[in-house]
Amino acid sequence: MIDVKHVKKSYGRKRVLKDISFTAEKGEITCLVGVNGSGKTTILNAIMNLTPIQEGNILIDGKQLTKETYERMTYIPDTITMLPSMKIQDAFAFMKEHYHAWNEKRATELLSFFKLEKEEKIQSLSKGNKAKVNMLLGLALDVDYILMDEPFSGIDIFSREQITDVFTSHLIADRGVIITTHEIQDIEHLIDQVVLLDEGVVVRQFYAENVREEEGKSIVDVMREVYRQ
Amino acid sequence: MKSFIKLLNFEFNRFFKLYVTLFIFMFVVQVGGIVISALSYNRTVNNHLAEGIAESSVIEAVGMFSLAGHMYHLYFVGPLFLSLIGILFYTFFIWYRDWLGKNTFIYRLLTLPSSRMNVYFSKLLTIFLTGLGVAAFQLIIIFLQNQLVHLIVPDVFRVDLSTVYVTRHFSLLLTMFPVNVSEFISYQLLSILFIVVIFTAILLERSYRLIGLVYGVVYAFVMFLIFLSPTIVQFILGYEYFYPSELVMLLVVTGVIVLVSSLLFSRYLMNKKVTV
Repeated sequence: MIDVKHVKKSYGRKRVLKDISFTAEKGEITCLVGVNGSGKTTILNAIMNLTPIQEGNILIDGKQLTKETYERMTYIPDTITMLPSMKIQDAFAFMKEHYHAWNEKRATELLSFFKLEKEEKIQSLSKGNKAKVNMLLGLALDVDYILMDEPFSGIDIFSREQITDVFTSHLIADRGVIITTHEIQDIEHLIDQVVLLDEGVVVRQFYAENVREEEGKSIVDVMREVYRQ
Repeated sequence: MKSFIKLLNFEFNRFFKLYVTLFIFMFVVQVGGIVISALSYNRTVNNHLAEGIAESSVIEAVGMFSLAGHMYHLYFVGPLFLSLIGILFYTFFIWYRDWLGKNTFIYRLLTLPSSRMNVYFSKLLTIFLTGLGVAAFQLIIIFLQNQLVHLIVPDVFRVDLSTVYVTRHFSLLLTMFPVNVSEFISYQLLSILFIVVIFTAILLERSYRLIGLVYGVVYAFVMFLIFLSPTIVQFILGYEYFYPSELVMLLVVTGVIVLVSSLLFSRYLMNKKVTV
């Protein structure tokens, strides 16, 4: 379980996260939803210790993050985290060298799933294919938790469909996923838990299925209620 | 340790193309320069001899050809300075290239399942080793230049100097190739100290951004003052308050203080403050 407790963060005088608390369970897909500047990416960065927080606490399975945690939790930001000059096979070699959790078999499987070639240079790939390589590098790690920041941002509909297919495959099953997205419609049916953010606070946290069953509302309906108030 | 070695190899490979370009540039300009100078000298000498002037009078008129006399020429000093400036530039670039532009490789480096100080030390050692490499390559070039002068300029018109003698004749080279081991070690430690302070200042900027830039500059200045404080005290007092050996000891102490505190501070920034 990823437990985010009363996290506060400011950039200078601007308070980006005012008091953020939520939990994301293993085996569930938790979606952070909010308009631009609501602090979604900052939360993911804070969970990965890629930006310091001023107050609060973040626990991964009840423990503070250590270097070993990066073998159990990975981050897929909205831009590729490999050198543009590398070929995909060089990126594979880098991952294999540095992560015990790297699963070469799964990486190769994903490569054909996304219809990519090992010899291709990252810098010569289209935006959609770069996003796929980025996702591949995260998904090919045998980790318990995956954090994804806007995986659908600015990519074509076919690439988006391919990435969406990943969520229904064995590649995600049993893992804990925290995802941020604007394009909620694409994955609405896949999401377990939703955390609605607004101006650095959690305005509502709910399980999509409960809301569907008990209130007959979709995630978008709830968002409309919350953000149009 | 294994992760550190892998990262060091990775960092060095990233610099390799630029490094080889620097070496080629040094080689072409410095070796080419000495060949052209030697050939031009030969031509002048031959012209004089063709006019029937005696060898001794030619030597009196144009002097003998000596490698040491060419150490201050632009073709020698230029590439050497350019290489050193290139490495100084790379001391900053080695960090900023992972953050700036479309490059977000820093996300990967900071989320590797090993100590973040491995990233720091791999960058530090890359800079240090490339500096040493330039010094070693310069030594090889001087040796080559010496051999070429031997081949081109006739015995009677040249002053034969050993490579060691040449390096001691030129103050910048004397800094790169000191006369004794202890001096060599001190200069290398000084260069490490310099890189560590610069790295800490960069990490301050990367942690606190705009205000961090101010912190970084102030930090580097304060560290500079602390390191040189024994010399500054001596200067303020206006007389030789410390014996030379005492001054060296005090500089070692302040150097160790600056080095250790900068490394600890860098570790704190890398683990707790640096932001993507």
